[in-house]
Amino acid sequence: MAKKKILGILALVTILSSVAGYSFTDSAIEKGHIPDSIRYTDF
Amino acid sequence: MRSDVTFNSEELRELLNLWYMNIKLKKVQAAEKLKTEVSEQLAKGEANDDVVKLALLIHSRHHILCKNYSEAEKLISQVEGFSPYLKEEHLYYLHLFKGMYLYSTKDYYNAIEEYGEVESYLGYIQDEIEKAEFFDLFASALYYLDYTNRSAIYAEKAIYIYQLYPAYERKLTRTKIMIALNYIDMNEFDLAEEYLHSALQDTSIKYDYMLQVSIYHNLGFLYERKGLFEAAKRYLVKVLKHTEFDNYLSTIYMLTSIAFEEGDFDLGKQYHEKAMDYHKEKPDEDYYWKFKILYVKYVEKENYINVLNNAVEYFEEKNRFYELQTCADELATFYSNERDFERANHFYRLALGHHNNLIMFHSRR
Repeated sequence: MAKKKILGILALVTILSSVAGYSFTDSAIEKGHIPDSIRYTDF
Repeated sequence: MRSDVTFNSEELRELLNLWYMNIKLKKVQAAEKLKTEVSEQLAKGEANDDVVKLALLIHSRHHILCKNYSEAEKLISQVEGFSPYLKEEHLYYLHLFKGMYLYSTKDYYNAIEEYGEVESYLGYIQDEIEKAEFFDLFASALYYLDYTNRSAIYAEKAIYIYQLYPAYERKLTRTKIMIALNYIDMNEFDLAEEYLHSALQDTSIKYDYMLQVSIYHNLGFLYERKGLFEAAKRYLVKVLKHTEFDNYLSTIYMLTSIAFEEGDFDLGKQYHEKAMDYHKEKPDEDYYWKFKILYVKYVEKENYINVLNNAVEYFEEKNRFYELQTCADELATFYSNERDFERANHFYRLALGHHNNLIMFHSRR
């Protein structure tokens, strides 16, 4: 029971922390630069 | 030239490897030649089924390289049709290329799902560098989609392999940069700094100026996020002479923003002008609007609301969710203060609608 509760909390924390800094590629938010990376469709 | 020679399945497999290598290196012409050679060999009907399936998959990868996405999709679906008869090696490439295809069509969520599938077949891949390159590819996609923790984990996996192969030193440095950027997103600035300086040291040992420029940009980005503007400027100005740098407008954007923030309007205007000149040569509409907003915010304040309204239209059309939300939120507050509640309501709904989209996207991880 306690284990389930911990897992639940962990899942919640993961979702909340992921939402906190939301953005994704199309967002045009400032991200850093990875040389030669596949940012959009340049495979 | 070699069409008079018939390859057996093993030799054909070698040819396929060579084709795949050239695709990965983005050598389009060489890849085209090998494609023709493979087609000629396949037409002779000597290859076994496994090799034919592999050839179809590599052909789909070839289409992705050439941006013929609909053709790539057709081949991927064709191979998917053989699903019960596919070996682990085929499944590895199938999920990998399908992930690439989906990513290229901006179906990011499903692309990540496919990449996740790839991992279970890695054990069947002999080539360690192929594995490292997959981790590298996955990590950079995850970084741009803001799956920060997962990105850092895969970048570490790539580093673990790259460091065993001196020939992949440059990729090792790149991966260090990727980990640093993830640390920036986690606000772990000290760790990010450590990785970036280590990467910078790598480039000074084996001089690689494009990597160096990228690191200067990222150090500027780190210090700007940290609010240390003097340090940020010190690195960002080092990038200015490298107009070939592919994030050049982003560098000038940070410099302009810092100048305005510090009240140095003349310098801010100079950077803004430089950015607009650059935009004329290499147009980038996203940055055009970002600069326009920045300029009217500090210089032509009377046009601020008007420009924000136009920018919202642009960002909405282009699905630039983050920017749309920021601008719509700003407009909603403005109209609310003006007691124009109808408009305020419209922009709040716009901002909230896209905020919900983002939450949906991330909660499906």
